[in-house]
Amino acid sequence: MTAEGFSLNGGSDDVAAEHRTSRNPLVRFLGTWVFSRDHKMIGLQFLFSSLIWLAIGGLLALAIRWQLAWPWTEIPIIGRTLFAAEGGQITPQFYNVLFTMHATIMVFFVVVPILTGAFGNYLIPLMIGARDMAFPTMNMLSYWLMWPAFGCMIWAMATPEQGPDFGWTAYPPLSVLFGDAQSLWTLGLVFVGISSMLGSINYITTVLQLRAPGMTLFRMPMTVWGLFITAILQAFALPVLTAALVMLLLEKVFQTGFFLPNGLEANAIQPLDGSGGQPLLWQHLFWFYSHPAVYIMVLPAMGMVSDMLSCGARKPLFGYRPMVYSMIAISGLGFIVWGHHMFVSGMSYFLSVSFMISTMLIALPSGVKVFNWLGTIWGGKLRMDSPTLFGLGFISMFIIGGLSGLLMAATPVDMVITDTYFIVAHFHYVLFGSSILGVFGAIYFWFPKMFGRMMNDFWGQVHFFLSFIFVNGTFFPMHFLGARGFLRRTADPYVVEGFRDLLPVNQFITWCAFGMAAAQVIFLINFLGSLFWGRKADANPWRANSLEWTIPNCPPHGNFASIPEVYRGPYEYSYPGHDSDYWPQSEAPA
Amino acid sequence: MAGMWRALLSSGGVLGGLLALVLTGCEKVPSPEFRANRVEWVKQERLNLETDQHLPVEYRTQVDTLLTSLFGTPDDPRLPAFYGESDPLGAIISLERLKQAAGPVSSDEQGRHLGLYREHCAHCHGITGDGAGPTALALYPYPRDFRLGKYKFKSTPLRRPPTDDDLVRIIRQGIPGSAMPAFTTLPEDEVLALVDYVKYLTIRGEYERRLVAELPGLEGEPLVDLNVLRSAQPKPSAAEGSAAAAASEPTAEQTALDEQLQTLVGEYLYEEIVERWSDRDDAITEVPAPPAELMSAAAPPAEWVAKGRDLFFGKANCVQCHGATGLGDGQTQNYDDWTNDWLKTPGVDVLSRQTYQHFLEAGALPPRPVRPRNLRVPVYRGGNAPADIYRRIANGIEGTPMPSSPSLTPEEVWAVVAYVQAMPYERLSGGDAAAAAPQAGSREVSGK
Amino acid sequence: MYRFWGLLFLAVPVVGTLIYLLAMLGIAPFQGLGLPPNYNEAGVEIDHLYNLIHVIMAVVFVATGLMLGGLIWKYGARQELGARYFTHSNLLELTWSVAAAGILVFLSLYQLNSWAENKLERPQVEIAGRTEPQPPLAKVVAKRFGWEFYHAGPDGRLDTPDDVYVENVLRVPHGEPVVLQLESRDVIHSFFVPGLRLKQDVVPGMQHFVWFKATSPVELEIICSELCGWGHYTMQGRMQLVSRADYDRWLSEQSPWKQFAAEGEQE
Repeated sequence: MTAEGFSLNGGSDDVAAEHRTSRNPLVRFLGTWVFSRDHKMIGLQFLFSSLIWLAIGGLLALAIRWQLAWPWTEIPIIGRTLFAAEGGQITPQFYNVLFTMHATIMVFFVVVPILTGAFGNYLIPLMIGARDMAFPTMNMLSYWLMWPAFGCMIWAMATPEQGPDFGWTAYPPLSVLFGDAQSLWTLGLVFVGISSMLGSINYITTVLQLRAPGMTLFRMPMTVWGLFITAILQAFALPVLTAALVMLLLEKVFQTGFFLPNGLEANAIQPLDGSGGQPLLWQHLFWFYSHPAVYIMVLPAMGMVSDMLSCGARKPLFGYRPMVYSMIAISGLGFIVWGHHMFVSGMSYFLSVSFMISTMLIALPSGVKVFNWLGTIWGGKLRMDSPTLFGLGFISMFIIGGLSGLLMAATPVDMVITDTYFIVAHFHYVLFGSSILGVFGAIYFWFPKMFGRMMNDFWGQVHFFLSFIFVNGTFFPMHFLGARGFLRRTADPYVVEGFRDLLPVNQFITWCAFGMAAAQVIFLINFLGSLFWGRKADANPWRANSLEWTIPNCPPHGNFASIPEVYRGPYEYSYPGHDSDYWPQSEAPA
Repeated sequence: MAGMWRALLSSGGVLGGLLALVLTGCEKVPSPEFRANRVEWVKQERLNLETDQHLPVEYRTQVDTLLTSLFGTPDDPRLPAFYGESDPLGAIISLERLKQAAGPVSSDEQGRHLGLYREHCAHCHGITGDGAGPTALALYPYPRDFRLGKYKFKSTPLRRPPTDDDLVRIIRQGIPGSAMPAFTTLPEDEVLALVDYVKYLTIRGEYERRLVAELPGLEGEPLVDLNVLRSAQPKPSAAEGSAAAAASEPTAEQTALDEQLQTLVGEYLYEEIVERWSDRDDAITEVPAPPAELMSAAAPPAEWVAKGRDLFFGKANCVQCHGATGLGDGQTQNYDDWTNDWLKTPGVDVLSRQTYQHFLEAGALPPRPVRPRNLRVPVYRGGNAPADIYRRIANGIEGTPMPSSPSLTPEEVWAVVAYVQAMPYERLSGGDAAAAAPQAGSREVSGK
Repeated sequence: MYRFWGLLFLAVPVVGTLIYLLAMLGIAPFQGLGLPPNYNEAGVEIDHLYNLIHVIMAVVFVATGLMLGGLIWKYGARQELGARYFTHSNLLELTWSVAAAGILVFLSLYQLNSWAENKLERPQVEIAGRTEPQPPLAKVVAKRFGWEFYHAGPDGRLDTPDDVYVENVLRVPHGEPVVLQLESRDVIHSFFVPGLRLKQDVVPGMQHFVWFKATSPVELEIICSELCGWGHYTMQGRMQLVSRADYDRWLSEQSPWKQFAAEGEQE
């Protein structure tokens, strides 16, 4: 089926007509800017909400770093607003809330929505030559379901206990002990799950059904592949998480006994007695989603980086098919490795061996991708602009993050380093160092298409340079902390005498974290400033090949004046004999 | 290039704005102050005045000023030293240790940790020791409110303060089954500093309650003349010599103040409160020697266990609260003394929140029932040693419905102790006396 | 500019490896940044595995990092020449896939022994002519927020009234295999002894067994390494490794009636 033949019920054109011609100015406004069913507007809505949550989550991280560098001293802002009566220092309970909310926000409100919600929504129809997503109304719902989730989290932080305090992993019995904050957190994530599931159904259908004529699966840009495979991951993994969250909520509110065993002597308001429940059940269900989640959080970025690098090096992506197969392998294997989060959890040690093997195996496609990216640069003509730099930064940090994963895959070593800062270093390298840097690059890259203006490239390079230095400065020393056994999620690790000499290292990390935050201010100013005063961009400022660059910036409803015909893949850069060093996919052959 | 200059200027401007914003959050938080015991205040009003009648607001300042002049602030603690060098309070609390525990968290040049109370205790026990710190709501049972002067687990009987050793033990070992952690690795001097600070908060809190209880009886007369109090010199110590004392002639107001203080401080604080603290070491309950059969056997002998069980269900009446199963489900709607202190005020009904809304607003924590111990789990908050269990039974647990047992002879108490020790290992079903003896080598986890 | 960026990316493998070397050699200010000393026989293999994987990682890290930096340096300069149209090479894909797979398979197999030693092969002893799993020396009960240790008393069995109960300080003999039984009172905790390379989550409702053979009489820290509430950071214990003779002597002196026995002797 092609886009021409597929009748979009209430499709974009009709939608456009509806709200544009309405007499009521409120309906016009709401239809264009708030409850739009246009995938581009929804993508931008996701983008803006996610960036705001990125700032909030980042500030929470700074509070955590403050406590670790100068424990029990007055914390700026939070100290005077929340803890003035006690002298401005945070409480250990609040520290637990800090890292719980930091992680929850970053995973569920920033990285996943920005990759799948913002870029997925914006780019998929454009890159495959469709007029809109397959289900525009459901797409809109998918965004607006995030708002009850936002509300639940904010409400959770307004409870007397000041928020959920059990870590984003929410292991029971701790996560069903006490307080409305716990229930609100759980409910909020149920909304996020539903939102993502709706989105994933939309993306899968769109990619399979609405590609322009000539756009075979193996002519799609890697961005679309990344998002497509991510959508499949979400579609299969999220139902498990959502079910688990519902079970947790029932456990908390109705004491259903899924996770709580008998004979607990916990200090909690209600006597905590389960009926033969098993805490490990939650861990299996949770990690069954949360491991694919980490691939959800990195595959789209990988895809975007492939596109940006290939464009920046003026060279075809090296090994397009192996790259696609690697992504498929990563996602397939990603479903059978979740137990590597549970090596010491008390599950069967034989089971650990099988998870160890699959985890070791998953290093292979990841490594193949890194080699292919290096192959993409080799022989290229590198254009050192912001998107390319962020793409290169992605590779550099992904190498570190991926390699440290090898230590964790080895179960005896993992036994020593799990729950320490080694793990924190690893996932921040892949999530911040790789995914978020990839996101930044993607913002610089697709900003002209979204807003018709260029972001300032000089400040983009400054942003990259400072972020690169400070991300390494912040997270590299954490590997050493973890080797010493420095634990994560501890409000005052220096209670342990053996860790007191690690205070200077922590202070260094905190200073780097502040530097990192300051560098993001540059990005913020660049982003906001360029929205209004950026240099006007032409339709294809990067001289790239994919379909979105063939239409005007700030594309109208319906995207394409007429559905394009695709003649080649997206990586025909510097084709021998061709007059220019790029060859758009829909340009007719001579 | 113009674009770049514009970029530089705008970024500079926004960065500067952000910096200014951040710096406002960098102002030092004002020094924390002790919170007034407003729950006691409201309670005294409810007990003695008509509804909607309130005690005059001036009393608050008077009480606060008196307390501050005697006890100082959280950052700068003082001891009353009403009787100069030979002040009995000096024998109970060391000012130097107090200063180490007080104030913000920091280290001095010798590397000594300062601000110990705020580092380890304040977030649960509150800066005033009122058991209502920020973390308190998330805990069950609530952290101890020191201001009532009651402690649950001690070696002294009811209505007697705990010994220093009791307090050290609680800090070192924590209270299993509650959120009080075990501070095993704190150095000895830091634990002693915290113990002194706890005593300080307790005595200050007890004294504040005594003052507030006095207020309705004054019928509007000032508690103390603030102007004179503020200008009054602290009593010179003997070391400073009588020359200083003789240097200033007492004025008429000062004489009147001295008389007032003699009552307010000398009587209310020293005679009623400090004296009880001075002779607590004499009041330690000596645990009598246990019967030889108990000491020599590896497990409590069957006849002692049987005797204890009979007492449990009979004369000692443990079953009423601890339940026939021993699981602690006999009485589930009792409240501890810290809650009953205000909950029992006439007009307050625990089932109707409106009747105690004003107490909650004054800072009381929502009432939560206190549960009898589940004796099938060998976790005893006051400690596992037989002597500890003996004391809990003989003296009761102050502040809770667990009563003392004056009617039991020492031998009977030891029998109950033997039964309590055997209970976690007792087979709950299919039991006769013999079968109820502890199973050697049993590995069952369930059923506890 | 490309040279600048090339150098920046080249700095990553160079500086990273340098810091690691300095840390390994203990040169200030990078001293004390490696694994703590190990006192467990089974931990030797873990440390060896740790170092081996680091070596493999270092090789890949340096190679890819240098290549990345070098490629930027070189191909950033190609502004006059065009890019080379080089889309794929099955030979290269095969080569690096096989090489990587080989290393991964080797690592998977190589570590199995250590895992088995630490988690699967509980020490066996001879009891009454039969080979049985070694009974635990003590039961470790984790609770919010401390550790309760119940040593098997003179009868050698746990959960009998002659168990010796100690809070937060665990005394065990060194030089012989020791088995501990782990339980939790309330939420999930984790028994972590960095000096023994030992970690095991303690899940309520489950019983876990850990074992080790300590090599020297040292005092080690026990830290809870699974979030258990606000007091998670205070949940610390001590493990005192003593000789078997000292342990036996200490155990025989322990009795809940100890204080009365002393008083009795005084009378």
